[in-house]
Amino acid sequence: MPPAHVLVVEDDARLRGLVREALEATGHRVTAVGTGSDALLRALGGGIDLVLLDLNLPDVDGIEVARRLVDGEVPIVMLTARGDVASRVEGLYAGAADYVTKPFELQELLARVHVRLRERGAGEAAIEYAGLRLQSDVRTLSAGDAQVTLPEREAELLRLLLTHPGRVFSREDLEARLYGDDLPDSNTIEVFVYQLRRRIRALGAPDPIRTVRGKGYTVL
Amino acid sequence: MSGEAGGGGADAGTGVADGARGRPAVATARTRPRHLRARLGLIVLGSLLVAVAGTVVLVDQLFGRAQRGSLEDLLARDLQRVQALVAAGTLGADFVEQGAGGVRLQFVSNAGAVLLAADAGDPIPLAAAPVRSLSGERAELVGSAAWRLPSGLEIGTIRMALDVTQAEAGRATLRVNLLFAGSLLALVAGALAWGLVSGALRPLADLARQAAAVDPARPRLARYRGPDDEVAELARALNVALEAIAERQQAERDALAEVAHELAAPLTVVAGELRQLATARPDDPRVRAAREAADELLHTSQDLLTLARGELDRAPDLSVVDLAEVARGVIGAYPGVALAADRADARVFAQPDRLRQVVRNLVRNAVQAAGAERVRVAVAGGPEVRLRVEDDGPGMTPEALARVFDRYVSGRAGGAGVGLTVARRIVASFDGRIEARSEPGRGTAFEVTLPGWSSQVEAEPAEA
Repeated sequence: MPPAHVLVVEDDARLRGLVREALEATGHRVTAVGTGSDALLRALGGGIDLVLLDLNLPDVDGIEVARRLVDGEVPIVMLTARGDVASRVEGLYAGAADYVTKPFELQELLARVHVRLRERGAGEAAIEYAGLRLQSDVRTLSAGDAQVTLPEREAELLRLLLTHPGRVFSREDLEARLYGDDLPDSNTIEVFVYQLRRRIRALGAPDPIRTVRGKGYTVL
Repeated sequence: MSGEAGGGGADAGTGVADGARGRPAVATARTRPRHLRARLGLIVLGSLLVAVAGTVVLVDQLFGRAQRGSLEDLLARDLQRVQALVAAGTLGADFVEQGAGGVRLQFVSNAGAVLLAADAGDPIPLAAAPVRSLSGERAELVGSAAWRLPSGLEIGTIRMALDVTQAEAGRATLRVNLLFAGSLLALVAGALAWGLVSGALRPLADLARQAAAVDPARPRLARYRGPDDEVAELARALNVALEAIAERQQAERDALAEVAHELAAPLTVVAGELRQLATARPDDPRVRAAREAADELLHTSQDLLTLARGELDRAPDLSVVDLAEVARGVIGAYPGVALAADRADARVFAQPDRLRQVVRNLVRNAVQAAGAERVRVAVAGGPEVRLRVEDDGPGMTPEALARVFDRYVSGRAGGAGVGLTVARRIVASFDGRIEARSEPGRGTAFEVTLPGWSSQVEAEPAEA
């Protein structure tokens, strides 16, 4: 994995130090701050690959910081301690964030950070999976010499699935990610998946999309 | 609670606790609402029967009295007429002999001899006031009047007997009819009353059912549908009590969350720093002991907080996870524990960190009970993926086993007793089940069964 620039936002100095040290030991560059305003200021400067964000900050509400950062499309791993936060985070989680509840094992946190960075790395370039190649900026899906251009939402859906192999996305989760609050008809996702499968087979490639009974879709 | 243990058809002396069902089944003991209903029904039916019997007796008496009165009037009138006719001399023996239907007439001398009689019937007794008497099969109303000659000389008595057999039979028929109609009415009214009582008691039985089904961990208010009566009052009182319990629980959860917030950062720092230190100084037994203790503290807090925050109420974020790999990772922290994994596919749909929590809790539980050298972990893949954690430690009594998945019930001193509760709930959230078998002196085995990933995936649609 290429080294990344991680912004650590945590008001507990000892914890901040521990996380910074651990991330640096795995080869990442770390900027560590203790307040929400510092975090926003630092993030505005750009060049951040991932934000580790404590939701319980002394100045700005962590949720608010997260919301602004999500708009900027920086992946976030949130650190939470209070129970009620989990439910408040859920709405955001549908966007771009992951969360780890305190207390946590350092190893667990590092694993999450790596998964997030890997996804982000995969999201920028063309994604290749089992003979399929998705060029997400121009929405072309190709297998061998055959190629097809995907409608915007289908491309986004396929990108999500291919960048998270093995992860199950529920229908509600996918709706929220593709449409935000403006929810579509109840069978829209099913139609997208059906269309994607048809197109993939038409390219002559094996269909990697799996329907997990009663749970959602995944790629295997 | 004990209903779940030993129910699995286990060998004698071997207990089984099944942790698949989320909650111990509430004993469905009938709170005997039937008895109250029967009692009320019987009371109503009894009162109806008494009322009917009273009415029948009363009507019969009134009717009898009226009937007797009119018959006595008839007798007295006839006697007077005969007396007058005899006194006027217009009536002779021929009249007497004609006899009239249902009426016997006899002229009796002062000496008591029957001088004139219409038939050969029994002599009619003397009766100043009308009296009932029997003549063979016939019931008669008997009366008498002075027998005076036209000269005014009283020479005996005129005696008259009125046949009342028909009238009495009529009264008996009336009585039977009344009894029959009354009983029918009582039965209909009784059935109606039974229905009404049952209807009135239904909300009560419904409340009892709801109260019996209340989950102490998450009390939900009872629903009441029915008239605003005493039962409604009971429902309100029940809900007030449930609300108080829920409030209290929320307060406890809030307090715990607050404490958790205060402890979270320092705990993470202690465990994290000790881990770094242990990596730097792998041969220092004191560092290792401190690291292990810190990890245990961290994991126990995670279990407690997982429950306290209600995190398990949310649906898990599923991914394909290899259970054998998870087991291998967990066991790395417990040198001495043996792992056997077959070569079959052991991948399941689960949330990785929670699945790790399950395996860790089972292994930690076994290691604490028996020591790492006596713990064996086995993973078997296939359409159903199984994880078995076995120890040959002291084992558990059937009573302890029955409660092994209950919250805050620890099998040993010093344990918080949440690890297995958390494990059970996590496994259930992955559509799996967990079972425990144990026998005192012969160790304990926990087995987690999860559906293999392939059994959860729908068959691919046929190639177009």
